[in-house]
Amino acid sequence: MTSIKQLPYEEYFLAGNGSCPGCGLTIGLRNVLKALGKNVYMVVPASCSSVVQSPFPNSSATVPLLNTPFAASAAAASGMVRALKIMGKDAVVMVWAGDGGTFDIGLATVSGAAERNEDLLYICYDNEAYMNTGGHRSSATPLGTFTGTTPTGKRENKKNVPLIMAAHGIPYVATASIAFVTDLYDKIMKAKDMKGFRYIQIYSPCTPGWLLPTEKSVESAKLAVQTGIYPLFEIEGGIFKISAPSKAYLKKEKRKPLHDYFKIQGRFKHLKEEHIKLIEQWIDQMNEEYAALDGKKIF
Amino acid sequence: MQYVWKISGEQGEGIDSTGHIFAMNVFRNGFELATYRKYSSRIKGGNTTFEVRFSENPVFARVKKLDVLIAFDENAILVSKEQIKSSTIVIFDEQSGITDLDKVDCIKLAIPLSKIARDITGTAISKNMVSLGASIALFDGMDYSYVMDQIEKRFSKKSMEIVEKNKRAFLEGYNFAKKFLSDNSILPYKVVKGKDGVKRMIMSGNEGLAMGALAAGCKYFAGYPITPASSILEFMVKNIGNFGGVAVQTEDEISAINSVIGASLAGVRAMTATSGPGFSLMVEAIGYAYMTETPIVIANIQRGGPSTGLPTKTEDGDILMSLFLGHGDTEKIVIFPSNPYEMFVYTFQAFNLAEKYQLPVIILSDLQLGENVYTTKYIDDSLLDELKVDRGKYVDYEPNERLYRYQFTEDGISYRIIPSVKGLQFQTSGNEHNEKGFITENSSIRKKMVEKRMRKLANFNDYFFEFEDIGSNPKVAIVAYGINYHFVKEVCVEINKSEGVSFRLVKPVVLYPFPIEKMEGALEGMDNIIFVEQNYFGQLRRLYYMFGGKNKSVLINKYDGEPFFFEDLYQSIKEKLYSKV
Ligand SMILES: Cc1ncc(C[n+]2csc(CCOP(=O)(O)OP(=O)(O)O)c2C)c(N)n1
Ligand code: SF4
Ligand SMILES: [Mg+2]
Repeated sequence: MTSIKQLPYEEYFLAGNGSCPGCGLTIGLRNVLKALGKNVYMVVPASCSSVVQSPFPNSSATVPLLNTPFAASAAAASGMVRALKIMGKDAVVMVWAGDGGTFDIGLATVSGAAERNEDLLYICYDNEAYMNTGGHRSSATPLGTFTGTTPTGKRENKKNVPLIMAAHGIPYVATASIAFVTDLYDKIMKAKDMKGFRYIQIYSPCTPGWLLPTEKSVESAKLAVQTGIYPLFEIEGGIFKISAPSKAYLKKEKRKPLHDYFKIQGRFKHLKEEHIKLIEQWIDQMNEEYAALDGKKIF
Repeated sequence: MQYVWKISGEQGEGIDSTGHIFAMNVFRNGFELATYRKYSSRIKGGNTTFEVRFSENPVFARVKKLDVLIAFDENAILVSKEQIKSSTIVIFDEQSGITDLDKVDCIKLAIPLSKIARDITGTAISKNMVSLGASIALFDGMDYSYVMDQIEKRFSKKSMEIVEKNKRAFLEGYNFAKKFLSDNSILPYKVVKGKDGVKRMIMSGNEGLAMGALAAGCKYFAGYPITPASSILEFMVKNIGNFGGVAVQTEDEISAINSVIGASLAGVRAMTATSGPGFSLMVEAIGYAYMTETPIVIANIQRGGPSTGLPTKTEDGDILMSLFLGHGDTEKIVIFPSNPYEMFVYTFQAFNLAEKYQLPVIILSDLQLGENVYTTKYIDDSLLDELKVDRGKYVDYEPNERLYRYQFTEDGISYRIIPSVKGLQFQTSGNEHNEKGFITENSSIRKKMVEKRMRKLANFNDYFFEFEDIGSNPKVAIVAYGINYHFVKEVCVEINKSEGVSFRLVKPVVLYPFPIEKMEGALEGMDNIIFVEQNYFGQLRRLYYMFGGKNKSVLINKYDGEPFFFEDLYQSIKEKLYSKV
């Protein structure tokens, strides 16, 4: 495993971009590009990412960048990667999309590209809502969350897109978090050298969207793993494996109280004890299931 | 009397809610007002602006110079520089690093906004309250009781202590500014209340639209977030449940509109609202609704296009698209209301038209109308009595006679049998179909079916078309639509006063079927015809000629994403007056 000190010094996503202080997606993107280096084409659908990358008159990206329509990134990237092959160019084509662009409007094209096993690295930074439009629910928004379109708390649970992607039989699926940068880095490094469709989903806090104090962004990401609400895992060649940062928290007694995670975020403020119980039950069940899958070939 | 007040700072500093409170307070004082909001996405840090222009007379357009500017940071000064005149009072905090003001000729009212806020309430965000107090103090005779009410409403959930602290912060700012005025012998702005006793409302176009839909009995709303239409989805999610309906946020716009079609086929009134990119995705479904004769209402709150374009800026560039979208020969009714009140009334009517003609109805609006508030006529019970729900040939009972869903009729409109009616087989299809709805490729049925559909709008006469004269015997006509109509009217009233020129103002509301006869009638005898539009092509003007308009005309247009300034429009209209075509 790479240590923090071994991360490259080079920066490909520069400081001075237009994101909010404490923004998770920019922490993620910065480290993803450290792993990928310069030889990458980045494809980004409408999202916060497409706004923060280039506040006039500058751009903070140093790699070729294609902003696409909202629903279209996996398709645009498919065309791109095929063309690069025709032209004899060797480069990584990476989609960098939000949860809305992946879980909802983009799911058909993501699934299509995965089914064709296009040679793409697809990364979904998951801030659990449509942030760019002002904080509206997506199907990545967890049960109970307040958003602009779920004013009394969302009634439905989060969609399990990593497992849906794994069911396509693609070579690599992983979840990662901006709080565990070296784990993230290693996953990107691994995926970088693979061929075919690779899907990585990165947990990325959003300070205004989650009503989260700026300085608590990384803390909340840590707690998401420690409370077991966002387990980190890989599915490589169909084999499910819990990642090191989550290993200990498969056991209920090791997990931190969900309350610690909820109380720092305004988006959960309205939840009553009974709601939290319900969510806890769901977390218990998910972790039990994941523990049972650990090390097994599931697809 | 007319004044312009502006607050400007970073996204996330409470600019928008402070602007709203100021606007409401002005309204409660009996004035007419219009707002102008500039915002970026939700991301913290971009510059946001909220401008309020108010007067005892109707106001709509934006004017160039400010009377009061609250500037929270250097950026606020930078973006407002051209709006500052020597008598503008600029409220700012010396601690906020504003240095640029030295060279600007204006009245500088430096207040330690953040310090006062922190000292009193413990948080710098209350600088909004301090600056609100200071800015209201600049208007002599302005009652601020609404602000006090708002403070109570917003903070009483937290504690009475917080309420008191915020009131103190407000008053501290108020007193600071009063003292500044007297110390420097500066006369405050005089405000004279409008006293006509006419009841008015304050509303945005999107609010008017959403309430009109609820009043019309819309029971199913589906939408997908997109600026500047998201506020309609948010409104519906909060309110439609109280009217026995549901609002659903779908996974994209294709899903939104198709679920609306499903709901309508099942028998309820249903609508969706979106903007450019989402509207583009809805095209196929609108064609399907036309083919299956399904009544649906689609609102397109336009922003700058094409593609992602200018997500937070205004434009009326989707007019041609709205009329001609979809493959094959299709028709849809297109309506462009001109203010929030009309938004209410014509959205109500849109549902009636959709059901009467069994067609998709497109309501056009734009960011400037949708997301800004204006004083409007009062919506009272008598209006609601006047507006009658008309469901057309809706059949949810077992009929005595033999009926087919797509029966050939003289007016082209068949009985709209809903699927649950006993004894009648319901079938529909986007394929060409026969009277029963069964798929067919039979040439003679096909021909008859096309002609039946085309008969529906042949005698259409619900145009809501209006024109009015400013001065007598006008020889100059101006054609405008949407909120720009009111911008134009304001300017023409002014030109009429100062130059004695009379105008005929022509306002098409229904844009399809195109009101060509009405237009030709209104334009008869005019020497000079000017179209004012917020797009490059002059899209309405093109339609006018496409549908057989005979008069020559000129175009004043704007496509930089910003609404017209009063002064620019004044200048442009004056120039065109003397440049005969
Ligand atoms: C077809 C279409 N519909 C809606 C939008 C408006 N829109 C832009 S970004 C966005 C949400 C993005 O959410 P997500 O993918 O989660 O990224 P985030 O903003 O959270 O980073 C939406 C709804 C659009 N650009 N195009
Ligand atoms: S709104 Fe959220 S996701 Fe978007 S830039 Fe700000 S912190 Fe990042
Ligand atoms: Mg998101």
